[in-house]
Amino acid sequence: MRPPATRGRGLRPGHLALSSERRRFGSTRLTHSIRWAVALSVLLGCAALLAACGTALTPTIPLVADPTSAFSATATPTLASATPEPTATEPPTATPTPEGAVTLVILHTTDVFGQMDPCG
Amino acid sequence: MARRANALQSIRQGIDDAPLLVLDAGNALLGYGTSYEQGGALTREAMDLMGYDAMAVGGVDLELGVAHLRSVADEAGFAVLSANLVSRDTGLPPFSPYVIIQRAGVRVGILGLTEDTALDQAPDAESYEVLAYDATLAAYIDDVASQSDLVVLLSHVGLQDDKLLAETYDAIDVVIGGRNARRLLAPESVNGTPIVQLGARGEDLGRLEIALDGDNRPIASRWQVIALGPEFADDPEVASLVHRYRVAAQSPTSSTEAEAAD
Repeated sequence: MRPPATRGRGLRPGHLALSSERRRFGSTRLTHSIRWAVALSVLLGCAALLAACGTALTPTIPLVADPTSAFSATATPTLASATPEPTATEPPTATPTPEGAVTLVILHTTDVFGQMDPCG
Repeated sequence: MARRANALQSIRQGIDDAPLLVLDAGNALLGYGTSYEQGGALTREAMDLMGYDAMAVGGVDLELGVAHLRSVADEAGFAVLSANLVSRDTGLPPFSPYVIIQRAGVRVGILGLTEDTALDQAPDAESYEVLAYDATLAAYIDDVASQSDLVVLLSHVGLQDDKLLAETYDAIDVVIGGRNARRLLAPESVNGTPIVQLGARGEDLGRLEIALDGDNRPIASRWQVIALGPEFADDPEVASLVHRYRVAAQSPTSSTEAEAAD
């Protein structure tokens, strides 16, 4: 009966595969770095285009509700995308409301300055 | 402008019979190029087509004078609001201080406020004055609240003062603000009152949803900023309107009204 500590040592497939992967990673590290650099450049380029168009990359940011008020608020800024979405005005997920309640929708603008052609 | 019209139309179709209001917090009518040259007639007509319900008066709207804006407001299908811009002679406001709009049984009181520097560029500034925000609200808020299920402060006084007013007056349920030309990433919440504000030049459209209970009291809200990018096609009717005004503006015989181009 073999001691448990030495059972299968050096023969397990995982060990061999790990060693092999490490060798491959070492030999292709430069290629990976170049790929990351290219991907980062593309992302920065997209961000610059959006910034020039006066829009901002704004992730979905939930607002912490005021615990002292039953009137809570949340925000879901639209993520400006370089690729047009299939449904540009897809309504947000409905806010749960009690039975018999209604949801008032207020669309609003400000400081338009009579601008006729936002962003060209 | 034509993109905004398309976005508004899409949202209208998407919400079916849900009650809807379309508001502007000021500096809407004048400003750039043709809109200024045509005295706000183009913007006013476009806002009518887009179904605006009310706007607050901002300083840029007064650059051709209070009397001029009064004449534009007379033609508008939406309410032009300012509670704190008053005549020096009579002490009365030349624009409606507030309006009560009913949608699906919900009475929404909308009170307009104008910034203290609004008359700086107005040619008839000597005949008017802008009253203090706090004193103005003190004079009107109970009257508005008594007639409304929901009180909206449509404000062009700026975020800092919006916060102070929301802190002071519990009757204010929502503040839709302007002036700072800085889009908030999320609503400010003061005294349980959400305060929202977009950036400038019509690049965004705000969508504020307010859930009301069975007694029409607000219980929750959410806010979404819709960036009006190129994925929104131009609304043909508003695009045609803009084109007509541009042609009229380039014509040597153009008048300040688009009818000259019709």
